[in-house]
Amino acid sequence: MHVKKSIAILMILSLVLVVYSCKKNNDKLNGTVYLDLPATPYNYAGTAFMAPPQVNQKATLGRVLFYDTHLSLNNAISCGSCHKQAEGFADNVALSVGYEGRLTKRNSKSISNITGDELDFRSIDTGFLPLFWDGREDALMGLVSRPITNHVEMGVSDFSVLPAKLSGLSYYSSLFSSAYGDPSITTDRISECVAIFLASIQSHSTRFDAFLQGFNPGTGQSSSTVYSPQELQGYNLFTTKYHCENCHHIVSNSYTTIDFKDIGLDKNYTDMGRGTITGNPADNGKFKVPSLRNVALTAPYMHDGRYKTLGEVIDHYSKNIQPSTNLDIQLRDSTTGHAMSMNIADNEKDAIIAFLNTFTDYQLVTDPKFSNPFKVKN
Amino acid sequence: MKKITLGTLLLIGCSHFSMAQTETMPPSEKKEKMVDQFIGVQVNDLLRQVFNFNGSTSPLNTNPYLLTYSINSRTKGWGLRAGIGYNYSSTSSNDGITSVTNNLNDLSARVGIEKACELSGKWTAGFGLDLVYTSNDDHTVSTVSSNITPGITPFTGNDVTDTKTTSHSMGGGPQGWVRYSISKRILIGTESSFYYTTGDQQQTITIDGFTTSSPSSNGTKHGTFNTPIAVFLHVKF
Repeated sequence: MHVKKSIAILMILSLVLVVYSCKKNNDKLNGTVYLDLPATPYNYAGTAFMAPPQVNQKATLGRVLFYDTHLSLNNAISCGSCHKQAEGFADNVALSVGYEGRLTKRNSKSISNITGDELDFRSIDTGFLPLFWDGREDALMGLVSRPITNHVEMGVSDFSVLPAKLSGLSYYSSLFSSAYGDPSITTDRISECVAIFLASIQSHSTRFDAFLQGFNPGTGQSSSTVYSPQELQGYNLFTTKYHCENCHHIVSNSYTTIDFKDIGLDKNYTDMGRGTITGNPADNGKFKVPSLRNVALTAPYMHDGRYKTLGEVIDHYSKNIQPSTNLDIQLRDSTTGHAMSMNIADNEKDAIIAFLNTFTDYQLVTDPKFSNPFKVKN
Repeated sequence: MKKITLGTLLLIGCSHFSMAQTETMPPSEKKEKMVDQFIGVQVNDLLRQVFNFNGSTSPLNTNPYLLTYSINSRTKGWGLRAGIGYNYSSTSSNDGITSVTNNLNDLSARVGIEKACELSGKWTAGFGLDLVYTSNDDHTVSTVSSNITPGITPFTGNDVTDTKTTSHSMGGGPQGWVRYSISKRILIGTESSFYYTTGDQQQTITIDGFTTSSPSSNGTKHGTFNTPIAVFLHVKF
């Protein structure tokens, strides 16, 4: 009798929770929405080599397109919905939410310094670096249409219908005119402008950059005094004892890598990664080595966002590398060939995390030229 | 929501056992049972809450069947099986520029035949064929300002876009399972299957009362291999 009473109470509580969770939020927009653009465009080109004509006007237009929810089928999400400036242009959830509320297949990668650590606009239509977790694209203009046409992400199955849709929005006429000299909207123009904006999202104002300025390649030491002893310990552990630098080329190649690695996340692959693109079984379970720029801001980590903190990532390398088929040779024991355990001590883990935190560019995440130009005034 | 349902079901199951211990069986029911019946509950999410050694938060498990039932002959091992899973999710967001409300309804059901075999005293395995049915119903309402211009201009109204996507698919395929007896009545197990399904999807988009794209129907075909990741807690009675 007592048990039945408890069950009844539990059921009522569950029902209350269901009803509460189904309560609709206010879906009215009560403020004045406006486009906040400077009279003179921001400088997006810097000292870039071979910047295209009208680059700042095109990047400005790209910024508007990047944050405009009209680029999704039902006006629900924009590129900026999953690549948030405050999160280092990554998303703060394991899997992002698409235009109909469905979850994406993989974690949204950070897109800062997407074409490398130097601003180079040649990468817009020429393949330089593999893009996405599986390297399915290598030119930025090709990248732009992928999430827009993805059936889970933004849902526009036919990219060619987008110009007609955007031409119905009054603010694009003047933006295309100033970028191209006439107001006509084409898919190539959309792709080019978003690609220029993406390429311009460069992050260089970190404490690690200051540390590198005093770096002497000959001695492997830096004359900089910006680091605390703990951060310096983390740097040494990262580059020498645990050889993280071998894949994350933060010192030798300014964070840039073109490699795909299987780091032993799962013994049996649930996502074939690079293998789905190449069809080569030797590529199964391999994913692009991510840039560590702003890594403290881009949690959760891995292609499926399985690790919530940097501590959990280090724990993976410390004692949880799985013996997967294509496990990278650098994560195998040199004598047995089995998956290695790095057995990273707690104080070392703290030092590595302190070092990784120095990759954060606070200027990038507050820079108005990369911010959402759609503003609301209540 | 899924976790609350799971917790409730487990509690009901446990309380059923505790009461079953005290029941006295009438003499007329003491004849030997001809069949074994099993009710299973998928416990992956619950286990993850309790044991999460590597801190993983990603939804790797794609097996949609939350509840299963099977009945097997004790002598031949042949039997019938069924499974059902339902997931409802409602989310909404409003940043002042765009307001979005999503409602998702997913229903998965299956029925099939199977043959169970005893591997050892504690282990049993089975294989069979299933017919499966899946239904997804998505409803999204998004609202954006209809008059955005450079500079601050008077607010004149909103564009409301209503998107409804429904899909249904049917098919079937082979499945296999293995279970370990924790006690006389409680078993833990996992299953693997390959289901091939075909179906259609319809999407209707309405902007401010006007349907701008007529319902479209596309034949969809899926082959889904479910790896033995889902863990089921079975009650035998």
